[in-house]
Amino acid sequence: MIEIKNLLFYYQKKSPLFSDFSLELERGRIVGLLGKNGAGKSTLLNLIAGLNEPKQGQINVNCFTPFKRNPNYLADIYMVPEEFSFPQVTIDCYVKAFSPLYPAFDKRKLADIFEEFELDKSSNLNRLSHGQRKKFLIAFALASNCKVLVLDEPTNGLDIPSKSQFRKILVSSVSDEQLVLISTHQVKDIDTIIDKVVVIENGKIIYQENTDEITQKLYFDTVTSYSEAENALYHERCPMGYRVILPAADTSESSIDLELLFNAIINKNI
Amino acid sequence: MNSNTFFSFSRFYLLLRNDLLINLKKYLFVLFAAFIVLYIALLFFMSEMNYNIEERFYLPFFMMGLAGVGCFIGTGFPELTSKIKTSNYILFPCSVFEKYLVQFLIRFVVCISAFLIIFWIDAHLARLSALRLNSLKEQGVEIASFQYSILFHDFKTLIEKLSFVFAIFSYGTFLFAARLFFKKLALVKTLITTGTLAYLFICCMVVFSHIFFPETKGFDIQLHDYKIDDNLTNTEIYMFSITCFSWLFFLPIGYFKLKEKQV
Repeated sequence: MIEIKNLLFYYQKKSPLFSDFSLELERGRIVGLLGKNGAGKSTLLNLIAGLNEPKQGQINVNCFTPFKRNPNYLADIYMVPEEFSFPQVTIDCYVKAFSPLYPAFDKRKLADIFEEFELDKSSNLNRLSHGQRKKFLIAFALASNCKVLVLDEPTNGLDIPSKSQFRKILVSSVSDEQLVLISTHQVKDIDTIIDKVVVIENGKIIYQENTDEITQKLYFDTVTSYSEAENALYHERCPMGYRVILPAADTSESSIDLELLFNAIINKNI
Repeated sequence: MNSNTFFSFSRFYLLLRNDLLINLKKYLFVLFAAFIVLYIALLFFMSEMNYNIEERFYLPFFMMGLAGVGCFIGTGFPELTSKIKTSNYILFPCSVFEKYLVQFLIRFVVCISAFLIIFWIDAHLARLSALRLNSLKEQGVEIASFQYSILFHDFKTLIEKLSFVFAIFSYGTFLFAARLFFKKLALVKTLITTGTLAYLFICCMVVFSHIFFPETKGFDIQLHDYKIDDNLTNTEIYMFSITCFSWLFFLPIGYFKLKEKQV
C-alpha cells in the first residue's frame, strides 16, 4: 500500500533528512511511527501525503505517486496534522462543504463518532477548544473512510477520557482495507492499538516490527530489585522498582510497554 | 472513481460549492460594502459640484473601483497564507486545474461582472439621488448619465480599445498569478514587485537609449516612432503586444506555481 524506495529528501542539501530510505507498509494495519524530535516523522508524513516532493527515489501509495496530487489519490488519503486551522463556520457547514469531496464519506459514522466525542454540530469550529477541534478532525478523518489515514500527533491536546475514546473509536472504525499511520511522541496513548512499530532516527529506520512478533520475542515486566533488573535487555527505574524488557519465555506473553521499548531502541539495547 | 484527473465537472462543482459555503458571507459583505462606498462617494462628489457634470466625471470613480477589484484579485487563494492552511488546500481532493479555475471564476469572472453591475447601478442611483438634492436643483446643475461607452471615448481605433481592455485584464492576471509567489502580504509584495519591474523596465530603456542614441542625456528615454501602416506605429504595436498577450504567460505561470507548491 505504501512503498518507499531509496528516498532522498532534504531541506538543505548539506544535511539530508532522508537518504536511501526505504519502507513498505501494508493495508489493514495501524502503524506507530516513532522517533525523537527532528527525526523526520512529520516530513515523512508530508512526503506520503504529497505535500513535499522527494529529491530522489520513489514513493508509491495505492499505486499513485503522491506529489502528482492526482485527485483520486487525494480523495483516498486524509491527513490530520499536528496543527490545524478552520474557517469561521459551524461543524455542520464544514461537513456539508467538505464531505462531498470524499466519495466514501459516511455521515452515519460521523454522527456516531460525534455522539461518542460529545460534539455538537451547531458549534462554531473556531469557538471550540483545541482538544474539541482535534476530536472533530479525527472524527472527520475516520468518517471519510479514506484508504490511508495519516495522523500526526493525534492525541496532543486530548484530555484523558478523550484519549481512551480515541483508541476505542479508532480500533472500531478502521477496516482491513485501510492503513492508519500514527506519528506521535505520546507513545503510551497508542501502545494498545498499534499493530506495527516503526522507529526512525536521523532519517533511517532503526526498528520495525509487528507487535505480535515483539511480544513473542520480548517480555515486559516490572521488578522490585536491581538484581532482577540487571540481567534484562533493558531496564528503567520506576516508583515500584524497575521496568524491564526480558527475552520472552516460550509460554508467557506480556502487553507491550511502548515507551520502554522506544527508549531501549533509542539507547541501542534492542 | 473518476478517471478524469485533469478536470471533472462534478469535482469542480463540489469545489465551487465548497468555496461558496465557506466564503459566501464574506463575498456578499465585500459586494455590499463596495456598493455602499461607491454610492456614497459618487453622491458626495456630485453634491459638491456647482457646474454641469459631464460623463467624464465617472471615470476616476470607475478606475478606483477597478483598483478595488484588483485588490480582490490579488488576494486570491486565501488558503495559501500559512503553512497549515496551504497543507489543507493542497490536500483538497481536486485537481490543480480545478482549484485554479474556481479561483479564476470567483476572482475574475464573478467579481468583475458584479463590479460592472454594481457600478452601473450606483452611478444611476447616485445621479437620481443627486438630482433630487435642493442645492443642485437651485443651481440648475445637470448631471450626465453614465454609460460604459465613455470608457472608450479617448480611444479612436479598435486596436486601442482592445489594448485598453486587455491591459486591464493582463494586469489582473499578473496580480492573480503573482499572489502565488508570496505567502503573506501578497498584495503589497505584488505591488512592490510591479513598481520594481516598472523601474527596471524604465532603466533598461534608458540604457538602450544611451547605447543606440548617444546624444541621450541623463535619465531620458529616446523613442523613435515610425509608421508600420496607416494607423499603427512601432511603439503602439509594442505596447499592444504586451497588453494583449502577457496574460497568456501569467495564467500558465500561476498554474504551474500552484502545481509545484510545497509546504
